[in-house]
Amino acid sequence: MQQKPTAFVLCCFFCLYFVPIGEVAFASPGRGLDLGGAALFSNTSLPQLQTGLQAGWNVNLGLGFTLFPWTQVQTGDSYSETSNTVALIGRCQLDIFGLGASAPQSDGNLYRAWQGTGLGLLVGVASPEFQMPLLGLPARFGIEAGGGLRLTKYSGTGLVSAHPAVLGRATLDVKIVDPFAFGLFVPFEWAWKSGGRAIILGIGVSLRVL
Amino acid sequence: MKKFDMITGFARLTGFVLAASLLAACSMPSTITSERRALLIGINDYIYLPADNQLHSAENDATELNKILKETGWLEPEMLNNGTIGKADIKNKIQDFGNHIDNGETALIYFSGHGNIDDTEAYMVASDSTVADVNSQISVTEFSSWIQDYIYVKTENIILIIDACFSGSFIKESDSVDLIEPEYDIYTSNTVSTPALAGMSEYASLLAKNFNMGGRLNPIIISAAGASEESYEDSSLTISEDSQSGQGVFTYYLIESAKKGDTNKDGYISCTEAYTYASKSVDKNWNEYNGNSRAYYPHISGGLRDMVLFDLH
Repeated sequence: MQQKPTAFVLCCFFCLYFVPIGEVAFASPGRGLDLGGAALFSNTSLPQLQTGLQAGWNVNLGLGFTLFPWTQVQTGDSYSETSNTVALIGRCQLDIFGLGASAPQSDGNLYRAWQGTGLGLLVGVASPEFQMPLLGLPARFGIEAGGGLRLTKYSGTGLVSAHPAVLGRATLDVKIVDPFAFGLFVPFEWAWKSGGRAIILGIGVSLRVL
Repeated sequence: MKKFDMITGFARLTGFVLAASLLAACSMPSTITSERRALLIGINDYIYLPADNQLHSAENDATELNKILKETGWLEPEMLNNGTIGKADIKNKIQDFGNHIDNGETALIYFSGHGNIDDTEAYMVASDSTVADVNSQISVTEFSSWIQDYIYVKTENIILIIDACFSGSFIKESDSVDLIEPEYDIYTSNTVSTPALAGMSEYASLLAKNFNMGGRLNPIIISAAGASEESYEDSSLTISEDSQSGQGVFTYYLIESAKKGDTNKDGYISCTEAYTYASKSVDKNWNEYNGNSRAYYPHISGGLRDMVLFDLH
């Protein structure tokens, strides 16, 4: 019973979020929902230890928006819906991720595996829509930066911890068929964790709706 | 032309990330070259305790751990597991052990024996300790100061393993909160399999702990039991013909992890892997059969750093 108000609010949010402003991908203003997965690797370090490489994965669900086209293109008496201008974009994303243990160093030290979840808020800019060479499909390049909070657990233990992170994301979205766009993205994260830091980079694919 | 340059740049970046990922995936672990020294303490005999409170397997625990450590990359361990072993003996041995450690080497100290607790602290119990006088026992504060004074000044690569009642008290706070309660309930408590989201209610304090972590590398501490729990020995557990009087339950599975605990199959059993294997095994093979009245759950200290316990190469 206690979960019903939360579920109701979430349903309302999603319904309102997807009231169509523009029904085509890359509409500006516009919004979208994307689901993606990425392979990650982390350059992890603690003071007085050598850095270690940790390989991992990420699944993320993002609510994206496109705002404030800097110019609009007039076609006849009306403004074009599709954005062929530079636009301000942003996203709120939920991440689920895991990083494996690093290989041991010569002194026997290594970095623990950890897994967790986090929320991030990013803003950035998207390029004007252009035609992908060879494919001939409309595409858009975006770059975003922001911050996030992570809740993690050291794998195989009961130990949970939390840390903040600076997030970045470069995305190439290719419109397949309205309202779907296929995305290739490079996530970046700089995490302050446990007195050290983890610089996480990856590559992933996503499917975006609207 | 500019669009084409942008795509080319993106393709190059993608290629770089792919190549780096491949490199990371293929990176081979280094060979462990630094010396690894261990001091193993096991106490069966207690002068001032009645006969039915004497232990039977603590000496065996140290003996069997000695064997597996020698097979997995450690130098011949120092032993303190024969007859009556007083508090002063333990202190002197730790001091002597520290004198033999060179900078940057790895030091492991293992203790199997009785543990005690009062309103203020937990204690390791030596052969000459009395119940009435906690000063005759080794408190967490005292033991930590010995580690600090004799070992930490030589190396930050320290592993402490304690198979004793209330041994969870020896684990110090770090960047993490342990979801596993100090008194384990087999029906309701968290285990190592509990998801991270269970820690959501502690988020603010966890962030504060993360920011308070300094550059110091703390010892990795593994305890057989929680701060409010007893740990047990079992006469039916035998590793070799020498150990007919049984083993400490936790130590038995810790040693077994050298053979069965390599979850990522890299030939190294880290402290975390050994802990995970041992804690799951204690829960499955001991707690399930003995019920809540005798249930206990091992604990491990927090932090991003881990260390190799058993090198199988």
